[in-house]
Amino acid sequence: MKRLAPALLLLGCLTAGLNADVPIRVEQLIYSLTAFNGGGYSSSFALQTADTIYLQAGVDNFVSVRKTLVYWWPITAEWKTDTEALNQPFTGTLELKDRGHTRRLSLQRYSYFSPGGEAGSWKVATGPDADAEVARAAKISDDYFAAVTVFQQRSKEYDARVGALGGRIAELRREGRDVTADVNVLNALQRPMAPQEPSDYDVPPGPVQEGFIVNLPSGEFSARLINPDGTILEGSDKRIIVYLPRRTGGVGYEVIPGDKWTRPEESKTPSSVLYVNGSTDVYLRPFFEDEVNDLAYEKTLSNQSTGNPSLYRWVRTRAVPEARIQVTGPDGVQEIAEQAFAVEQGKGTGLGYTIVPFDSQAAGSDQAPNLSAFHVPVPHERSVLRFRARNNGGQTVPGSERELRVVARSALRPLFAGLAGFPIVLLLIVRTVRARRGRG
Amino acid sequence: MGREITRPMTGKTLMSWRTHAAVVIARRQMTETLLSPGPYVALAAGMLIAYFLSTGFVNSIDSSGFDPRLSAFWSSASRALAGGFGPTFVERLLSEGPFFALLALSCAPVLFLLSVASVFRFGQEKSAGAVELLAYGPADGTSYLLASFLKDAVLSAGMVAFLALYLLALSLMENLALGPMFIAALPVVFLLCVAFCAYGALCSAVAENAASSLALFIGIGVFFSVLQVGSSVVASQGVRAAAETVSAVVQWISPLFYASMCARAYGGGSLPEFLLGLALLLAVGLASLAGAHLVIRRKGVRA
Repeated sequence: MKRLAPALLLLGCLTAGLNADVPIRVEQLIYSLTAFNGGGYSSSFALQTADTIYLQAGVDNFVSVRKTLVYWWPITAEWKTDTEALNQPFTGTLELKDRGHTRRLSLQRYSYFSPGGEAGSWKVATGPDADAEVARAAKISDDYFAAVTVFQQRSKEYDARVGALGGRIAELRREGRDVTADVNVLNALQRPMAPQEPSDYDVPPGPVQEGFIVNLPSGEFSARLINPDGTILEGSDKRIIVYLPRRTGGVGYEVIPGDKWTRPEESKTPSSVLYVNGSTDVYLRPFFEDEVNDLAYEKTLSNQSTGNPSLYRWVRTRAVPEARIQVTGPDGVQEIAEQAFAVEQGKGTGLGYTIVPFDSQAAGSDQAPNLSAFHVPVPHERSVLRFRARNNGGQTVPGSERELRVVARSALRPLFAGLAGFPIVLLLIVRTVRARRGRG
Repeated sequence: MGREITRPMTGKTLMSWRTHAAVVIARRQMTETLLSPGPYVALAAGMLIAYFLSTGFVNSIDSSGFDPRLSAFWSSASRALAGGFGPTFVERLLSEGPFFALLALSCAPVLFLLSVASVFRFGQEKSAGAVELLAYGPADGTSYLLASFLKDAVLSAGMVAFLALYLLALSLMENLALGPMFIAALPVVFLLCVAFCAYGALCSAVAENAASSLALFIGIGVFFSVLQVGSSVVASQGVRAAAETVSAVVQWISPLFYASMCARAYGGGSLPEFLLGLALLLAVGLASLAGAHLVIRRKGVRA
């Protein structure tokens, strides 16, 4: 035992620090942000140490000031909030100043949502309207789920009835008796219809919240919170940079290769070229996009992100409605309409996916297509396809022109590698000619 | 060298005499440069770089497009660039294909060699008294300086054109597009090179000997490059802030600033801003050349 003691002591010393690593929580005054990013709303927060908040101009953004606990989460390398332990929102007035002009905003109750059938549009309801909109959405949702419950109950009854009738018909047939009456009853049975999913909202309103609705023109503002007693909340000073997109109304494409449904690419820059190896067809989904500053956009998504202030990037805003794609290739010009597709997982050890046209009759009423896109057949050999989006009036949507190139390894590669030695050959020729002239 | 050159003393005649002397000397220097192996080796290196990187790009294309992970070089390069300048930089750099990046990479060794060789040669000839000898005879310091600049400009234009043709041939071979960004980059690369050659002339005029003029020229090039890279970097906010502060003062004399102005204008689709960038790039080159003229007039050509 005496011999073991030093070893145990050493082991004890070495393992003394091996406890679960609990992040240290620090109390901070933060700005909670729900910022419009062009296509929707992003939730983020600005730490007490962050001096600048970035918001898009001319749209409603939601800001609140609160005291909470924050901690560093090394797994995702970002700061997180622990609002369960502490979440104390501050009331008062948000004061925003730019060159000599002061705006004061009061807290408002709000909820935001995207109405159905208006792709990409967002609405904000405030005060009693927000309560009414949330109640309306809740009623629509409740009605739908009640209808689903009834449908499931009826489906169950239908299946039981069909099963019972089937068994009875089989038994009668075995006994050699007449089954006409039962077959007629079976044929007359109607499968219950699944209720239509409500289309009132693309994104329904969330619970009503309280915050400052910040809708500003582009520029730089200083912000601070003024308490109800007129004093300034310490640590609430921030700079707000409000920016406009540099360009709007561009068209980008989501490009889904036939064999990699889970790995779509995006073609955002109007002059960009799509390069493929021609092994499979591609499926396109056009969308409108705006060009915004990279840093401002990243900071809008998450105040902790970084971006490049000297670059601009295209960001998706909404789908191009009722579009058609015109493709010009080796086989001439063809107009492609949007189609519904189902994605089937590959069987066997090959894995992967296959995209096939969606058959609504075979799929049944409760199955929806996986994908709605424009199918562009891609030639297997080297070729160039040019495509553009056209609106329902037949006009080309500006900025939608793209080129798709099928590339393949060229047989001329050795020749071109050899061409790189041409300057050396030229040098030898020049030196030889000069040497001969010198001798002459 | 053809007809005899006699030096007039003033006015328009002096200008045309100087231009004539500069053209004659430039022609002579160009012949000498084309007889040395350096430009050929650099050109071959540029072409090899272009060949390997364009074929690497094609090898990285699969059914969903360009995937840099399929090529060792493109994988490392895109990760390093994304880490340094952000993913948007890489996306925009390669959105039209590889040729804009290849133009920059393949032209770099050629143009670096041309400008460095020119600066070194001027310094060496000044030290050896060759320029002074010329100044006593048919030419003066300014015409020699102008000749050196003219030679660099013509050779740069020729080599950029040669490399652009090779890249065009590569693009046709692999069915890749050169892209409008490549076309827009051609005048920028040429004028950038011209501006740096003018800086080379200024360094040669200012410094006492070949080694110091070379060190000064490389130092200025590195300084401008560090400032430009530093003010666009996203990896470190501290570096960017420091670079931006220094840049705010120095950027007006940096050819790289005007080249990046052209790039920004191209990205934003603003033709007037792009043309302004080109004009300012040319102006900074001409200003350097004018500075070199003033220095050499004041200091003379004696080492």
